[in-house]
Amino acid sequence: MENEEKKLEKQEFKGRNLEDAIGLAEHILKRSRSQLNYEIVAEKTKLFGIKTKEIVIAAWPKEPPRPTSLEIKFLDEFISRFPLDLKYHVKSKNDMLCFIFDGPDKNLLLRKEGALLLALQHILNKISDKKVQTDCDFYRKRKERELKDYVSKIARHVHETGKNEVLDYMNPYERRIVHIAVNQVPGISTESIDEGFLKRIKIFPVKQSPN
Amino acid sequence: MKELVEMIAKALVDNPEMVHVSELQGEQTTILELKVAQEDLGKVIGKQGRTARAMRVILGAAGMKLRRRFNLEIIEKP
Repeated sequence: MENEEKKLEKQEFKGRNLEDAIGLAEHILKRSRSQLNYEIVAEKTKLFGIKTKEIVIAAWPKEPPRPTSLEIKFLDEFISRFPLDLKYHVKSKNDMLCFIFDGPDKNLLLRKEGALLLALQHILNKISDKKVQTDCDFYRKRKERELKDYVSKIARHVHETGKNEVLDYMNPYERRIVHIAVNQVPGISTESIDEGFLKRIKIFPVKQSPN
Repeated sequence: MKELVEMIAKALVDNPEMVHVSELQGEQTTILELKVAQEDLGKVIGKQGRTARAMRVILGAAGMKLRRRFNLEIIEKP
């Protein structure tokens, strides 16, 4: 616990400009700037000798998001009124709040491609100002693996035949997994087609450059 | 189930005091009429009806457990 608190202490960094100072903070705190908070402490122009500027910032690592009473209160009230027998616990994952469900009725959450799990995620995201993900029984991990295996097979097929393939409609989360998985196969690329929330992905061979 | 729809809708809208849900019991089906302020209509429907669909999925799951069909209708308050 003591260690945890220490990590969140502010530290000062000097640089010739803001970019410099943040770069130094990134290096020393071993965090990318998206995971850092900073504020400018002082900005001064030194006048002895050559005119140089110096900036001092205080930087500290961003805390992982914590559930506020808002999400908890909503979910507790929801569960008390919802006929399904469910429990949940909360985890912070990077910049996301992860609600992990369990309980005797958890299989109803995962019916129809996790429709209820995703519906709850959608509502929670509308209510919360943080990014929310819902999960149950490693559903995400299982789906991710299935999807990766499936698209790698298709990518290999495209590579062998040299013909394009178009996948089914997918949401942004799924498409992200597909783009990453397919682009690991050399000579193959991906592209999203269509408009809207659900899009299809085209997998196609990249034309070899003449040389 | 009326209270469930009411609490979800109240959490979504800007004018929770304008949220009103009425329940019509049929033989196998319950119709839930959700009324919200006109400016909140978009909030409960969502982009491409995603929020409304999410609420219907929630009601569908509840219906599976209770062996009853729930129909959600969203009505604009005059």
